[in-house]
Amino acid sequence: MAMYHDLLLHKNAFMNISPAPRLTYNKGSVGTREVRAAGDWEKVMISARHNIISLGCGARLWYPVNEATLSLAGSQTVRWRKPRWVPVAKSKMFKIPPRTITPKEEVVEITRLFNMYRTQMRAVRRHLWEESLRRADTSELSMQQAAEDEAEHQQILEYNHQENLRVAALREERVRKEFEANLARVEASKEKLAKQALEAQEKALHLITETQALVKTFIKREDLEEAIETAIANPIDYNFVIDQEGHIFRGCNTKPESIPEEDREKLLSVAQER
Amino acid sequence: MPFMKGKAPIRRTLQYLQSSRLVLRERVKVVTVNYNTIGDHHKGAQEFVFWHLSQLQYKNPQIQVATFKNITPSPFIRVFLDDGGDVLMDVDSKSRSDIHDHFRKVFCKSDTKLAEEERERQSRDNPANFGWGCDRQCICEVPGQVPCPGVVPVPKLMRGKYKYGKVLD
Repeated sequence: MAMYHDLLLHKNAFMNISPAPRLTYNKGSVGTREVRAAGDWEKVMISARHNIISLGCGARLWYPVNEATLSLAGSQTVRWRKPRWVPVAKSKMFKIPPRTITPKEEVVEITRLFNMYRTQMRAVRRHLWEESLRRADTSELSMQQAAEDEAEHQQILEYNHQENLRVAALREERVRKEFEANLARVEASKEKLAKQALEAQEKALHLITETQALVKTFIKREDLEEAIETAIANPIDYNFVIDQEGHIFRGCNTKPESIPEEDREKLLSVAQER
Repeated sequence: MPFMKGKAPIRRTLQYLQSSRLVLRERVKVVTVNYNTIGDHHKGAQEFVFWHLSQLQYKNPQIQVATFKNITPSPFIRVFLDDGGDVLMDVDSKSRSDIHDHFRKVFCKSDTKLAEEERERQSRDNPANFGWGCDRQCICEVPGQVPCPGVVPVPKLMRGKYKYGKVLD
């Protein structure tokens, strides 16, 4: 009630219509205040209408709306409802609503049809309910099905497990073989390395002995003059001659005719052939 | 073959994808394949992934399928079920067809089950239905029925607001 009056005040003050009334609450009775004339109501309605339009929520209401319902603007609004303290309109005060009289035959017919309809609907509904019971998760069949599924699942897991074991055995075998192959490979490479080391050592040793032998033939500084004298005294003649039979005649002064047949030297390769 | 991209573009054809029978059971939620890209004993797993993984995903669009490469010494397939547990499938040195058959036997719906489901689906597709997902959106599209009230207004005698509201003189 208070809000209602506040709204009224607010509207009138805003629109600057007729002097904004000052409410005076008499103690004891809120109802005893100056009653508005009918004209004011219209103004209020118009103002309300303007106000609503000017509210600018975007919704333009083309029909008059009670202020009390303004607070509901935006949600579902009630079209004009008579305030409870307003008496019944004169035109409707003594109105007697007509009593509808349906003929008996019609009533019988309608009852018959209704009973048929009800029976059918109940039958359909019952049928669907029973079907739902049958298909429910907790029904016997579903539980059985679930148990079967579970058993199947366990069986499959078992099969998978067996398969895994089989493959695991094969894998162990393969890994073992690979490991052994690796070991063998490592061994072989070690051997090869050892052999190579040995060969290198032998070669080095051979080189050393050769060099040692060679060192013995070196001419020392003290023996230099002696060596030169011996070299001069014994000149080496590198000239030679080869004939078609494979005889070799050394020396630039030797004549092939002077050496008899038996003493002639033969080339090694020719001698080996013959 | 449309848009022949990639190594074996036949894997991208609808016919190839639809012909697969790798429909997973309801329990299975995630499929994971661990294998290496090189290695003789991984060959079967490599081929299985190359040929059959796309088929698997096509037939089970709601399942997660993942591959992990080059982090395992021996290949395996791990499948996670809806109760949180997982099932391990060792595929070391197995051939592609072996893996495919074993996988199908353990994780996929059997042929009989698939046929059953197919029959159920067909019986449920009642051609008389209308609405979303059916041939007709509304009953007004059917010839012989009341036309759409949005196009042709229903006569007043059939409208509730006139039958029960104002009294027709």
